[in-house]
Amino acid sequence: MVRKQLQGMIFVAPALLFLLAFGIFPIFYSARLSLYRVELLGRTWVGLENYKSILGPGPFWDAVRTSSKYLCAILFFNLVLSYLVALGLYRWGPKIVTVFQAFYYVPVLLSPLVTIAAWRWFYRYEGGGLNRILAFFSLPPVMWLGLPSTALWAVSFMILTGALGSGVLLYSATLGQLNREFLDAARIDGANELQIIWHIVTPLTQPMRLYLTIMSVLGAVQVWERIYFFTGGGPIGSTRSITFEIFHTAFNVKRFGVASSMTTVATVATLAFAWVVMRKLRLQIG
Amino acid sequence: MVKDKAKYLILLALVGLAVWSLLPLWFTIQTSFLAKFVIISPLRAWRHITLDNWAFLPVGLMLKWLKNSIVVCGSITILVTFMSALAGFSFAKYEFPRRDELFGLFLLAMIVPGVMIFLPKFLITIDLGLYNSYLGMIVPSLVAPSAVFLSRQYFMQFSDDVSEAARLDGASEFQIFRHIIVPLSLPLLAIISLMTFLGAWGDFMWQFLVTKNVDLYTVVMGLGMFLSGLTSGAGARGGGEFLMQSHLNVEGLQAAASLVLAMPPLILFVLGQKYFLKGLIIGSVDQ
Repeated sequence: MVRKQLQGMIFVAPALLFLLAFGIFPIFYSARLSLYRVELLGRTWVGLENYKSILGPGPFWDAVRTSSKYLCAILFFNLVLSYLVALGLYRWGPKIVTVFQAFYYVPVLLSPLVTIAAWRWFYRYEGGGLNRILAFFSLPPVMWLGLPSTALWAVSFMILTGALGSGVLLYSATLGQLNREFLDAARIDGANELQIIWHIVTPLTQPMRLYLTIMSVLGAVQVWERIYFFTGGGPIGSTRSITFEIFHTAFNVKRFGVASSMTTVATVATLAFAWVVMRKLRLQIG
Repeated sequence: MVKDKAKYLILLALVGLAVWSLLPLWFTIQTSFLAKFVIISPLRAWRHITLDNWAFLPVGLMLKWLKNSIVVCGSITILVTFMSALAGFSFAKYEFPRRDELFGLFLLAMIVPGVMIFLPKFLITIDLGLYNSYLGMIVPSLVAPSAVFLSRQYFMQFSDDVSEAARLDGASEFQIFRHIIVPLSLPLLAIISLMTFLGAWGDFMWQFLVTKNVDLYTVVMGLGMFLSGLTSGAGARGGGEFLMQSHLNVEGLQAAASLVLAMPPLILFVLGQKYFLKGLIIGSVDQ
């Protein structure tokens, strides 16, 4: 018995070791660093100074706001649109589902870098696809990525190419597990399609919806490559997500302490949010 | 009849979205075959096809990136698959003190993904002296909480009979894992390695942070160099002066390079689609 216990621990050890070193320990490392001003030659203790500097109005809150805008866009695609698409596919049967979900999933598989290249051509000022469409209607060209008012939406729209793929896939899988006889019974009882969707299918897919909500939040916080290659965070910082703001503060502004306090705030906030959603998930299932 | 009409309208919308999803890929393919960058309809594009962009691709450099990617992603995949299958098996089938709390740590790490804590992770990697090395690219990427979660879910369904029998015959615990459990869990291993490999292959951020030498560039890093170096004119972070030659069609080259470098994940996905979908689903719903 003891041998088996020991063996169990040995089996867990390698994965646990790397998890602690590069998954858990960094959280504490950044919490400690956030209390210092970090300079080339050393660290000076500043207490909660870094937190004070980010919690007021300023770049960090702008980034939080930008990430929330990305989140709205992602949520719409992940929860609403992909659900509708999955429902539409469901009506057409499993063969159509397989083919189409592969189509929607292609942008997820292409490294974001590939999609970025194509979208950059699309948004280009001179000869870009979007401006050519405008020209066709005799409208003046727009600097899509150069204006704070349009850049954010241009980036959001690009992020969405991938968002649809995983949503459709997961919803289709959930719908595939539904009991068709159950739905047919409701139909025989005189329920129309919309009633079935709203009163039966939607509640049954609720756990998946909550899971996708967590994933969307993580996604919105983490947007990085696309911003780096698309706008570099600009114009006037209007497209910086939280992760990008941390990157910018650490490597461009070179304030590691402040960037660490941002990391800590983001981590704690995400954990709190996920905890709330998961409690809800457990209630739903239980 | 009205119902049929609705059904076809839905199909139309579905096709429209599919076109939208595939459009970037299509434009990339088209641009890679054009001598000059223009966005034109495919109907007119085919008359201007040229292979110049493909001919100018820096084959030697790209092979080197490919080699680096295979070393880095291959090591990550093998190690992660092995470690998380072992850990998942143990979490599912063994009793030991604090087991559930330890498993909770893995769940915690699923919610705080590596990208979010990239900064402390990066600083730790520097402290360990792993900056700008293969090890620096591999070792910090060996955190795979979702793979552990997945394999625990998988092994929970296993019955204990066979391993009990082997245990009575005097097999060691590792022998049981190696000779009985592993052969029975090939689908699981396929899922984990496929997902890990694809994740590592596309992980631009980490490789961007920890590499300095062009010699260590992986495929995504090389692609990043194509994307930024060519347009900013700064040559990104070193490498290929040839990229600066003015007669080259920048967009065409970018497109051709992207296509070459995007192929492996697409091929892997097509080959392993069955496992891949299954993995995504086990990982999400059946909690």
